[in-house]
Amino acid sequence: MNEVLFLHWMSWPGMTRESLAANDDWAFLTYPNAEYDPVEGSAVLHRWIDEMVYAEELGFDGLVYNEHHQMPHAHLPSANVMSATLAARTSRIKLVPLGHVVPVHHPVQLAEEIALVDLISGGRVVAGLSKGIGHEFFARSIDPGEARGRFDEAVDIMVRAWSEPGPFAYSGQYWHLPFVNIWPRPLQQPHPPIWITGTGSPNTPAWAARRGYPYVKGLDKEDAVLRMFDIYRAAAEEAGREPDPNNLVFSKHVYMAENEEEAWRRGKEHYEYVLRDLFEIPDHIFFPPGSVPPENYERAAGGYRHYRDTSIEQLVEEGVVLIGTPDQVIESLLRAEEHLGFGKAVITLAFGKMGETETREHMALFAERVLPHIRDTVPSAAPSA
Amino acid sequence: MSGLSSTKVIRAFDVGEVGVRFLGEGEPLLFLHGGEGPAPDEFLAALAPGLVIAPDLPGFGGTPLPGQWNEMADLADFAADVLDGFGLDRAHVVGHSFGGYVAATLATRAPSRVDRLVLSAPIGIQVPAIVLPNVFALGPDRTAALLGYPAPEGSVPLRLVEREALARFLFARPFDRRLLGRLPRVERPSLVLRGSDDRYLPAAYVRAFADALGAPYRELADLPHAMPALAPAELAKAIRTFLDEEQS
Repeated sequence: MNEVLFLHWMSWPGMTRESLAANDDWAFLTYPNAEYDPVEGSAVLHRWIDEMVYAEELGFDGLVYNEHHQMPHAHLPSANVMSATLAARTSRIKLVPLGHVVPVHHPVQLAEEIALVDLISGGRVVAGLSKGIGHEFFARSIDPGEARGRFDEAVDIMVRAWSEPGPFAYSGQYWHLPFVNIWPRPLQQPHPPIWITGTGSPNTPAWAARRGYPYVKGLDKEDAVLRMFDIYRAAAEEAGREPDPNNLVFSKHVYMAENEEEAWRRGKEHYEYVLRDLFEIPDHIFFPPGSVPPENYERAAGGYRHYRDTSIEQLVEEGVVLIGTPDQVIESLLRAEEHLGFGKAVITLAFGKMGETETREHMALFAERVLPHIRDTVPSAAPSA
Repeated sequence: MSGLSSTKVIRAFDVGEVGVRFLGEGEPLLFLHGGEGPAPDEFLAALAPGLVIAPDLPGFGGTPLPGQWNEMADLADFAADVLDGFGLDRAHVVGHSFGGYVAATLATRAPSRVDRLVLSAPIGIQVPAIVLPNVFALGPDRTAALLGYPAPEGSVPLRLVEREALARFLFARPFDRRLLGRLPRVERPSLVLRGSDDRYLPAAYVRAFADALGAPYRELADLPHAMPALAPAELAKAIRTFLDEEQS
């Protein structure tokens, strides 16, 4: 693979089973924010930022972070704020939010902010764009049935705002904008690269392929990822594009240690936390009416329930997440690359209840023992500012 | 009368040909069902004597929901098309819950189509300081309990397509900000009903409809929200009594 990016899951470490039970086992949307300690939260945020800066030192090709709303899991409600912070703290590495929850933002504001962080970072920003997940539509009172249409329209507006000389007028189904003329414009021309994240709808890879945007798929069985990548490749060919492996972005959680037994003991605990407690939410919140076509509902909801209700051993067996020694991780990632044909890999190495020491050791172990064996090229030199 | 409904095929704008359930003959009454779906024949029969017309609203039962429809005005126009389909200039219009929202919208947009208006546990207005429970967030079991079904097994399970239809009109905003202000446009005799055990709609919320309409507000003792399904005879009797009183 050509690029290996580091994903920080930013899991709030303080969720308890008791509080979750008291909140009807809802980890999203309504999990009470009285549980959030701002003093502790500030320290945790600084630690996470430091860890991402460390990932640049370790030689990763990109920093990846989620945007999500009203949840302790991945609690980063503004990817652009994090991009700006990291732009000021790093010098070489690509900044890759995966992704901005497009339907909850005003598209012109989002285009302006991404242009701004692109300028601050010296052109290192990727515009990772996502449709959002079910509870976010509750959090913003957006008809889930409109999310896809709002997403498509917003992407059109953003691309035009970045690349077309302004002012221009836009009138669509959701936005009527007589004067689009963003200041400043992005440094990368015609616009920062757009990557599209997918949760499992086959429409998403096909749409991304037609437009030539890289597509990111993770947290799934390898066969399911292959199906999405095949859809992408077929749609790209149909659109007359050479399917480029660099447009396929694989994503995987990895927990490893020199000793297999230790990897399992600690990794299992982190996965239990991140895939059970932090992911606990009923189907009707994760898949509100209209978010998934009725004919796809059972497959989508069933896939999601699978992560929650299947043993970690089984999930590792299925390749949904990895646990092992560095050698096992190398073998697994190279096999996945061979099987799936991707050119970029996003590796989640910081998640669950991992503390500072454990996170840094884990990152360093991957950088030393795995990274050199899976990456085809050396990281590009720092751009002259 | 047998109490069993028949179906008449009508044409509705955007929807196309659609079968509409009806029974009886005589003075026409249009019943617009709630979010839990079409009412049982038993309820329609209890609304007799008269011609009782009970369409499945678009997105429910056998009526498709056109892709572009997302406003109450679309459904109110559909209700007017149903009246046209039966050759009626006007009818008594009775709407329950979500159907009350449709009925109130029809009555404020086209007052001349309404003979008398009955709103049973209606939704669709914004009342200061009252935020109704979000039914999409509750899940099937709690929604059933909120509506008054004794146990989830007894509830009418909403098919996914029907939930999707309901979400189209209610998810982003379960009311029309201007509806309350427009209700005084309805000058025909009206009635507003609520079950006293309605756990979904507070009395003050339902009473706001009556105040704006200048209509009587009546509570039906010990009845839950889902009256057409759970208390068809009592609800129909209260509606019938009002219509008969107004006739004299």
